[in-house]
Amino acid sequence: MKYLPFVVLFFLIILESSVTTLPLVLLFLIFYTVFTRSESVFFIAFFAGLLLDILMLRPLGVTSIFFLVIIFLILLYENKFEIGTMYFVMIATFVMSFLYLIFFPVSQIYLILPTCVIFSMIFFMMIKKINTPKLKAY
Amino acid sequence: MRKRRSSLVIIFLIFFLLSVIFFAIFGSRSGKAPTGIIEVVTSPFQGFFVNMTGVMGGVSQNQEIVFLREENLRLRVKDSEIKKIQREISALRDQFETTKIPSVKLLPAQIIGRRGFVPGVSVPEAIIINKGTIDNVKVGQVIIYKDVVLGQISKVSTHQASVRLLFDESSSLTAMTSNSSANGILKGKGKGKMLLENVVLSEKLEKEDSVVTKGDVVNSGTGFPPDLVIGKITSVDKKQSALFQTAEVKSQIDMAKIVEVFVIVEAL
Repeated sequence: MKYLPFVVLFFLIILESSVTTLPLVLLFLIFYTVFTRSESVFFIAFFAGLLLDILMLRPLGVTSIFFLVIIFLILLYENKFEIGTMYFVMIATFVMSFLYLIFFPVSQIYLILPTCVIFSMIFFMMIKKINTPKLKAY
Repeated sequence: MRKRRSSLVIIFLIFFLLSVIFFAIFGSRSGKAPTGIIEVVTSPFQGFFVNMTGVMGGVSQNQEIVFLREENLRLRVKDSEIKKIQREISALRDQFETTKIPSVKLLPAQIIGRRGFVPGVSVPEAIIINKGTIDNVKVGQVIIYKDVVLGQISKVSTHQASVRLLFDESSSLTAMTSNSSANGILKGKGKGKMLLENVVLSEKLEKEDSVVTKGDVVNSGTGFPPDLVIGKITSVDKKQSALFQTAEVKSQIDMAKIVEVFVIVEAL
């Protein structure tokens, strides 16, 4: 159970690199950051970015840089904004996905962005049902 | 709070610097990073998901339609070959020119990456195959499927290569029509569309006519060999006031369904 998020992340990396243009790994990292608030997310983002770069034949390190900056910004402002709310997750997903799709262009961005926001809403509601101490406050 | 913030900044800076170092060393040297083992380990997983989406996309189609499409494609390729032989016979008869029958060496490759908005349905942006520098695959080599050109290799790593498809917006090659031998430039317009442009008004462009490659193989053996089928003309845009006419070209291959392609490793 402890390693389940990493297994999920591995399969999301495989899915994003092979069959879909949805930024699944970015969505995972946003959720992981918001719900754990742990510095270990930097470690995960670094290696997830490297793996994505290898599998998608991008210059090595470029996706890691993007993920690290995004997560740093979210964690930096965790006291200024209530980052554990659905509204923040939706807005963060929209803005971060938009930036991601600008840096790593794909077509049909007008379909991908709303899909990402809808996915983030659904996953937030699913995860909120899990009764953990960190989530009780929300 | 201050302690947490400073630890946050320190950890972020460490990983950020590591990323920048990786980018500086390996970022611009495509194929030189030691990534082979990761590609070998993940390749079966990627191939599994790509195969699944290919099967899912095919299930919904009527078997008869699938058969007719395959038959149509086979006949188009045969028609192109017959026309090529007729041109060669004509040239030999006239004794004005000789044509060299190109010989090609093919390397089979599996598609392990085919990203689209809806897997198995959307037209993919590019594809990734499971052959790389270790298999003598180089940038510029052409990918075909049943003698139909799909695209050209744009990036290579140790065990994988990325293919820029013909309908990618950065794709461009010389082409001609099968019936009237009208020359033009085939350019990708994205979303599965291609345009045959810069065709002079005096040339005849007809709907349903096949478009084939003109041939631009370079000394290294990469590039498009001649007389490979690209697709068929679906519409013609001819205005007397314009300098050139254009035609929309559609590929006969459904990129969302195929799982295996061939790399032309030597085209002479």
